[in-house]
Amino acid sequence: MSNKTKAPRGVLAKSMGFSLALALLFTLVANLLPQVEGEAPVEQKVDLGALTVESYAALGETLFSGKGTCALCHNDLGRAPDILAINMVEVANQHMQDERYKGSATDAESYLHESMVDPGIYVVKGFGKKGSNDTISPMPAVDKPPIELSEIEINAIIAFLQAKDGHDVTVTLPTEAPAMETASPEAAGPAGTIEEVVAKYGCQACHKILGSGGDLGPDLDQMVARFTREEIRQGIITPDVVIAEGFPPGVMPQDFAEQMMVKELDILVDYLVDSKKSIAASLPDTHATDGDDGGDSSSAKAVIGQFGCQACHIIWGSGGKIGPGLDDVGARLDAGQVRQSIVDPNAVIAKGFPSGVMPPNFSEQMSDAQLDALVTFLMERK
Amino acid sequence: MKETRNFSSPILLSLLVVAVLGFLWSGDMAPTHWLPEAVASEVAAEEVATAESADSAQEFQLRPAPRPGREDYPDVGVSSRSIVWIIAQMHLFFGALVLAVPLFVLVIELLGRSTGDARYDDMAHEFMKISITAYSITALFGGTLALALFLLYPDLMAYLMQAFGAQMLVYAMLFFMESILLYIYYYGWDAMRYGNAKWVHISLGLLLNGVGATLMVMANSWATFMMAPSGVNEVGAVIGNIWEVMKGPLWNPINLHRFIANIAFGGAVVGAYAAYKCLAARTAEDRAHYDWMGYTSNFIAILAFLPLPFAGYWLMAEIYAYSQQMGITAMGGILAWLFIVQAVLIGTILMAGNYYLWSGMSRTEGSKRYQGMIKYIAVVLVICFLIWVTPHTLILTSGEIAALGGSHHHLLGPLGIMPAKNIAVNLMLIFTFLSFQIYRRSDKVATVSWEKAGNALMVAIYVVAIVNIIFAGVYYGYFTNTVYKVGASVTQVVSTLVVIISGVVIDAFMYRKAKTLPSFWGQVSNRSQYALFALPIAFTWLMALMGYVRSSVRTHWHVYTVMKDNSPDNFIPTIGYAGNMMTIVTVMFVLFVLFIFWIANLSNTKQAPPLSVTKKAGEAA
Repeated sequence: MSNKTKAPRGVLAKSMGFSLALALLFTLVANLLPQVEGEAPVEQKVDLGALTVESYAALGETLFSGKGTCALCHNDLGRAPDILAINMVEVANQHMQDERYKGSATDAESYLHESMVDPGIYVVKGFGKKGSNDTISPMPAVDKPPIELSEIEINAIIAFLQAKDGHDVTVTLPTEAPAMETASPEAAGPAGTIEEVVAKYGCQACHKILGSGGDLGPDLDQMVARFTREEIRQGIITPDVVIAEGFPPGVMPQDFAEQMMVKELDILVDYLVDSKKSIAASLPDTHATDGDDGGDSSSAKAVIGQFGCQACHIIWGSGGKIGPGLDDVGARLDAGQVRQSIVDPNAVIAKGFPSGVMPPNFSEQMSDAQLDALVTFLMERK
Repeated sequence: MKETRNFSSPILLSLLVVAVLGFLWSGDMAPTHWLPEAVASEVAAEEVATAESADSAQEFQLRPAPRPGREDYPDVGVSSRSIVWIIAQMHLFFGALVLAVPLFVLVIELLGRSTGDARYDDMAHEFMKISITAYSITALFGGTLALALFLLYPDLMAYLMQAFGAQMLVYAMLFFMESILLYIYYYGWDAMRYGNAKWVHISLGLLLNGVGATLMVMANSWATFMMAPSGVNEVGAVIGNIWEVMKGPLWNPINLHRFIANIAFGGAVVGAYAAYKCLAARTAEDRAHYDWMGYTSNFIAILAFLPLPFAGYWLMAEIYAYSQQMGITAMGGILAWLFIVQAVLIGTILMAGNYYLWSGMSRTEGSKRYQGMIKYIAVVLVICFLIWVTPHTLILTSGEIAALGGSHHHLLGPLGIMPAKNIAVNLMLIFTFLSFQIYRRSDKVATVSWEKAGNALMVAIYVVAIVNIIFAGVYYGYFTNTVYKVGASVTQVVSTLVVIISGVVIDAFMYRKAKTLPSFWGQVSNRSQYALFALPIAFTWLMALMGYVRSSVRTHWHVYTVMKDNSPDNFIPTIGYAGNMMTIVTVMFVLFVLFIFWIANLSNTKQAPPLSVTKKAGEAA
């Protein structure tokens, strides 16, 4: 029999300490990663009576990457056709001519509708379910669970797909909203609290404010106040002066000045000022450097604002990243190339950016003076 | 000294569960807000009408899944999901332990019976001692979970009762049978130790495992029904029989995955028990015994762990086949980041497992032949681990993007995508097997004439497999389109499996009549025992992490596509929040396991009689 020795001391403390330290290390890793919360889709109250073609298409774009979950597969990773990079109206017309097409669509709009509610009607080569020889689509019907888009929402996406490549939007705008979704501001008396103002004018349909809301417009709870009371007031009553980066123009109703009572507007402005929140991205901070820009920036500024260039390009240090930044474009391209990139954007594609995204019809929409002003301005961005 | 055990808790809880289930099943449980006419789609209405007209005599009626509003969820002041999360996870941890341990205990018992080595039998019995206390705790958490679910999610539970019906009663009855078999198997160990009685005991163990596996697959069917419902129509009305409801597309992949993972998890937990006992041993014999027990546990854990990624592949492939959207949510969507944490955890498991094997080589002089290889294996493992944890998409500021020259680093970007990770994972598995192989060879000298040829063949298999894994990953991953990437991973997995299987087969023949070198159990560093603590911590955390992703892919649905979750917790929490929850449940689990270890030791502890008693006994004698 062997000798019994004293049990080693501190085994329990050491083993527990080691185990706890390891668990905390894993916790640390989890907390160092980007923190993203997957929110359940929120039923948005949209004032259907106030919808314009542009705002309807913008709603479609939001649904495309939001509730519709289209962007989950339709991206540049090869899981499904990259819808943002291709002209869907042209593609729809081609597919309808394909002998494999078994549907009953007669135009691009009905084809797009059909492709969403019955994706198996035509499966793009190479994107069918594994082993089905491209006869079965892996895409779920968007009007069924778990996506459950309504007819209005499906049409909004069609509007977006048509508008993004400069085609005419052919879907009919919904004009009547269900009773529960259209609270008439006039019908009620003046709102007395910030909650009542937000509820009465449906701010949360598009903005996150008071802790919840949609993402069609900038998050008003996440922005640090950088603006004066007057700038915030102007942002509410004339919202399209300058559009926040990453958000489409023309979505926010222009008639709040007519609808709101002075008291209500004051409550809203007071809240945004007092709570140190701001509609920062909606306001013209990008214009603060106008004086340094040189060139005909006052005219160019109007063009950039009118055509929403900053939705995709960085100008004055801010804007979207869908297209190349333009703050140094004058050093990279000559005037002819800049002009060509505006009027025929797909002629030459900047390295690392998809083709077919920039609308090809700016030459039809811009006057010669506007185009000249824009080119001159951009050539001086070095 | 005879051990006594409180049988009452699991059996009383079984009775409670049966009573609750029976009451709910028999009564008209449907909440008043189950209003088919108000919520059913036209399809459901048509089906109801058709069914009623076709079978009106039986008053057959299809009832769609309930659609509770937020007000239908009881508000208890704290997050209902968090309560259920913690209790369910604890129940799953202990459930995994008590289902897995009897499985490898049976194998060890058979090994002891066939070799006649009593050490195996003793070790198996000691493993069961841990399992039997864990069983009571499993039952306690199971009963609490059932109570919490029925109280906090009444509509969901009522719907699951509707879908599964009497199957839940069968489950409760099997739970009785499991309890009875478990107690007989453990307490009858010494009574049925030899001769034909041993075969009766082994048969009881087989029966115990059969019932345990049945319980597991039945409970799995509830979870997989919530992920991919079958046997119901598009509004959730049950239209199939119980078998059709159970055998959803994800049922068998989950069954296999959990079965293997439970064994790895069980092995790791009893390994920690052995490590603790080894470190606290007061005699050389005890240290040697528990060193051997720890080695066996680690062997079980790593052996079960190696095929786990392949079961995981199958599960994910089936998830993609069921719903591409669900698959992408898990792998490429909002949950994608957690796979970085998964890489850290699996990397920890593999590195700890390897470190333990390398340390264990000090038990025999023969290991000197192989010790030179360890540093190279370590380098490969570390490089592969770093590749595995390299994220693809970084959250960057515009300044950082400018500095990088794009949204992806020119070197780290390519290392962040799946082809690079597939190479890394497969190489880690192959090199872990190499560690295992050289460990097994350390105390043996082959005596067969074809030893050199056998070794050359083994080296060739390693080289070809490694080249194939790297080539397939690089060529198909970076130079062809996406379609071939998946195909390449199959080639890589096959290469890894070929190495493992051929390694086991070649060594089995080559070392059949090998000369055995002396091996000294207990002659191992204390540091190595901490690797055995790292394994269960990482496994426990990993199980919790995978539970988070499995649950989260349902997004805002209780039962995917048929019953929405309208509770205040119907969002996917951030990975940081989930990580905190995982650490809470891991720490809780460790504390309960410590309690189990303490109880297991308490039954062996005998108080020394007071002096007066000894004196009286002496006088009486």
